[in-house]
Amino acid sequence: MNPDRTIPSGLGAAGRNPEQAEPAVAGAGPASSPAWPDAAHTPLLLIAHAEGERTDGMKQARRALGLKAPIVVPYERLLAGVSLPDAAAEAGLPAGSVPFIRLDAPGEHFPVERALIALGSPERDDGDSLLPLRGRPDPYRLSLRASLALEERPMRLMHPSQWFRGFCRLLARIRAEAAAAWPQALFWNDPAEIAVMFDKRAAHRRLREAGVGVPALLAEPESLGGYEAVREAMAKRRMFRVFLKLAFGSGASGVIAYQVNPRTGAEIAATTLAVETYIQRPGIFYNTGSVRTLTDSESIRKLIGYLCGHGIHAERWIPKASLHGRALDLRQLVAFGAAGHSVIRAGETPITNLHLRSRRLSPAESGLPQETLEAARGEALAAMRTFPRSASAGIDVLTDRVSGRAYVADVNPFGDLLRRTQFEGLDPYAWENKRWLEAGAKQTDHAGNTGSAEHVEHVQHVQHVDPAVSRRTLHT
Amino acid sequence: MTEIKLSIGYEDYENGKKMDEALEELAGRPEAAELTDLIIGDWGGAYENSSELIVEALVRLKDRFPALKSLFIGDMGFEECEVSWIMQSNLNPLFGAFPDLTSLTVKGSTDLELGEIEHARLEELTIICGGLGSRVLASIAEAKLPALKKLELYIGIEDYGFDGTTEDVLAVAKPGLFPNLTYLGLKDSEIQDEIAEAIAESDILDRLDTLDLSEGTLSDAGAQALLDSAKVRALNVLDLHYHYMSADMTRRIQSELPNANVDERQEADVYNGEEYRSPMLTE
Repeated sequence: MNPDRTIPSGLGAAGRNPEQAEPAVAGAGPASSPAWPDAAHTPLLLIAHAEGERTDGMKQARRALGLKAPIVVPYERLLAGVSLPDAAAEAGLPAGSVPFIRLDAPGEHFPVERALIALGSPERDDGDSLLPLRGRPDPYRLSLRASLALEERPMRLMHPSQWFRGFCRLLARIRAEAAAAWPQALFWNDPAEIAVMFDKRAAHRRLREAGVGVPALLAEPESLGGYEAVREAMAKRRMFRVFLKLAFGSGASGVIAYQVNPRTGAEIAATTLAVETYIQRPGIFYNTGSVRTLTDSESIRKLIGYLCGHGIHAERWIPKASLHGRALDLRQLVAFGAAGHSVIRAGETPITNLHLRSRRLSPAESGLPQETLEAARGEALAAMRTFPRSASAGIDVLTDRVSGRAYVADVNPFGDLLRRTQFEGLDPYAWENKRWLEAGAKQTDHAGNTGSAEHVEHVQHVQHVDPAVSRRTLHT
Repeated sequence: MTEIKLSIGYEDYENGKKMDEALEELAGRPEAAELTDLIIGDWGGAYENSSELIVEALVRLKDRFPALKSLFIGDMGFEECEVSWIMQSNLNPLFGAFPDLTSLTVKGSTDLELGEIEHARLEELTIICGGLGSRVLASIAEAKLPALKKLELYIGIEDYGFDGTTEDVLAVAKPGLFPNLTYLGLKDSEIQDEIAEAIAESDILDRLDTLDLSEGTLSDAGAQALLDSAKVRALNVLDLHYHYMSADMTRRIQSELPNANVDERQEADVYNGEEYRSPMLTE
């Protein structure tokens, strides 16, 4: 059984027929996408932080396109116990109107983080209908009271598994309240699918089963109980270079690029994860500002143990294409069935990430051959199609440095905050809204028949790379 | 000039493809006859499979590559194999097999041996590694390379295989050993100061165009020795990029030695009151 697939009865996608409530397994056919609402006339209900770059970006984008401002429901209101319809009404949703509901990132806001950890506490246990791998317990649990007493500590990891449990509970609540208040309402990204995207173990499983290119799994997460189990799995599979990831980390948080030398037994871990250890109480885990290289087994054991405790996803380290000795990866924005903005990141360490001062490159600057970029876009679109009830995601794609093959490393349901980049002359939020206008209109015209032709059409808009340049620089 | 890089990607490696087979295939293609530059990249599992079979294949196939001038063995990045984990082998047979070779570059030093080196036409020898063993240094110190113009050695650190002394390093820079040498790189070393001090007054500098002491742990002590040397002032290029000199000393070098490159200044890590400096290729 795949727990990540299960949709509890009665909590199906708000108001759609039962066939559509079941997520499509196959990655192909776009036919399972819902008929998106008419963007020109449907109010956008935005569940997000009241202020900040993302919310502002969405407001500006809609203003620029002549669309009505989003109706913003702050996470804090919902977490304070206000129901979604009440919070929407107080934010200005006209009575009787059916909104299109978009959730944005709940992170980088300590009171919200704390409230989500509290929502994940034992006192709030509710069956966890949307938690993808809900069979396994959290390593230790913080009571409601202990959760609410947490204080802000920059860079520190605050009980990530209980946070994710709480976030999934909130997702379930939002979905249920939306279904009750507006049976016709649709989500920009479906809450159940957000939960799967956010859990790297569940997302990897879904992509793999749909035939989307993903790095090979080291071992099923259930079998990786700690450092020894990871080492054993590496030896058994002869997979000596792996990426170990906190199942629900974002960015580089909780990522370890780990390798073992089968000849000497030496090991190297490159990571931002660090621990302060104490004799009398559990260690404190935090992210450092830069990637460090560890070679001593004791430190590495602690870090891997932490990931295993909260939830680990372990996959093969794909040797990434590089430019001037910097490893490259690609963030591809996909929205309403089309591929848009691509940002390529070039890092001095194996962990290429925007937050770690990696350099950003345009597709042309990266020197990646056109066919490699197209393969990456194709794989990103295929990944998005495994989430048929979600409109957009920022999809991280790795390209193998020798074969150029594309592997999907991450599907970020809130991955559309891409600064200083344009596609078709638009920033990501404006482009997504334009895509919505087109997709909604198309479906109004053709009675919900979403053709796949639009994918092809948009792939052709991408920037072109001089193939000579790409060949010369790809392997430098 | 034609250049080809061969790499066994991990997908091919998993499917059992070997670099010596890839070389056989290349040797059978018409372009082999014109090939001047051959780059051997990742050969798959380079942390446990050495370059031995590759050397054997190259020697066996030498007549199929009559135009070969430049050979790189082990061009791989950290996405493929840690430099200090790359398994090399005895490369000595290559010198006899390719008498027209002018450039040899090697990456990785584990199990690397060069043996007795004698080659009439080799102009460039570069070894990129985390730590160069004293046996390899000794081979180079005894080498007969009359045409050698450029010698670039990553000296590295003890943890990654450097087991020599300053004298072992300086033995490859004996004046007169390589009469045509114009570029000398003794770099990426954890004893960069000692190397700088030992070479600052050496007569070898009289013939050099470029002295490359970059990417190591050079600090004010070594820099002072360079500043004090008239021979260093006479060089065309003094490459010191990636260094640990103080801001003051960096400015002095910049103003007094206009031939010097002092980019990429590093700050030592301080931990429990001790300063730690590491060369570039070892972090």
